[in-house]
Amino acid sequence: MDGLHQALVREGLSVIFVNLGESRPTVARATAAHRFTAPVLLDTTGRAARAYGVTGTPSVFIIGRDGTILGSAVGPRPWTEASGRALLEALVRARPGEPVRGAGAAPAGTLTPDMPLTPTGPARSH
Amino acid sequence: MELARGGRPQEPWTLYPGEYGIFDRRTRSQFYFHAHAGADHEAAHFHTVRLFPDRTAHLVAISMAPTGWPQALFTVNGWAIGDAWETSANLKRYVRRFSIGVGRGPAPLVRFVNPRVRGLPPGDRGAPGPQGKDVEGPCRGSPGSGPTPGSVARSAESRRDRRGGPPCRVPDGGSRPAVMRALAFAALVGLSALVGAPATGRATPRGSDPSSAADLWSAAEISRATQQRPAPVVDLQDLRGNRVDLRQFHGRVVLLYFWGSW
Repeated sequence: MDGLHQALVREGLSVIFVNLGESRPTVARATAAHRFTAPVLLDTTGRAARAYGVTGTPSVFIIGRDGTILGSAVGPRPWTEASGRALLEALVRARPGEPVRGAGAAPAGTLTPDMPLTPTGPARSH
Repeated sequence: MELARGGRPQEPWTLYPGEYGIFDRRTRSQFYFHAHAGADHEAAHFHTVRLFPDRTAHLVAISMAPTGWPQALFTVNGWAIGDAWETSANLKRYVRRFSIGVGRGPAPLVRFVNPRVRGLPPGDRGAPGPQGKDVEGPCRGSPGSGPTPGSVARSAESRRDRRGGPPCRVPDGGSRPAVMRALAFAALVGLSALVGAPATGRATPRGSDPSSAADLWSAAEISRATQQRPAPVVDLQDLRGNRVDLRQFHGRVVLLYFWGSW
């Protein structure tokens, strides 16, 4: 994931890691182990996780250039493989308001209008 | 484990063989291999998953000893990984139909994982499935391969494993350690019992839609929002104590990645 940030940051893509409630030293160690170069934020109170309805890790939200949520995924996804790169590169290339070519057909799944954005508590452990 | 890592060194949290593990779109089955930092009760584990367009269902995880032997099966905390509650019937069906096709990954690896989940011997040699009829008695793991105190949640069968029984065979691609099939059944029963009570009875997941195969969202297995919704505020500190506001990134495409080091 961090590799994507490095590869596409100049094209207009940013990855932001939001840690779910762990201590600063723990996050610092994990960040070093992962060799993250993208920003790592500390959601110590779970406020951001609740706002996004995060119920598990990893949860990823794609936010468009206009600040709207374009999509989401929970669990491993092929972010760095051809299919993931193709989607992200298309999103980066598209201008605000412009549909993403090839992305207009039926989606893999959908964020429904009643998608929970209610507090469910941050993920803890598995 | 060497096969799962593709010859690469083991690093904590890294998913192997790749960030997407091994995924069979035809059966919507997936597994991936990783290790948690600081975990001394195991070398690493496989997660097995049914990945549907609208949901993810973790099945069992296979804990591996440093010697390369499978040492336990465990289930994951659905609350932590974001799975929807499932009915027992759904979970049994997910397990029964878990299958990574030959050619999706290294053959010995696929042959190792498939029967661990389905409780079937490699090659579907007539075993009746995860209903327990085919489960043999417990056997011993290799010396030193048993679970250690403080290990992951274990089934009753894995505890029995430490008490003795005939030796298990090394999964060399053609053999089938009976203990893992017994464990698979025990874990399935446990999993079903766990989820039986609070199940919300969501609909059976949709299968993949071939007509959308070219769709970028579908190909990447990412759920696309159906309505425009502004991203909620994120205004937090980074590791250095600097305040970072998501609004600073307006005009960029952002991947907001919620994670934990557990």
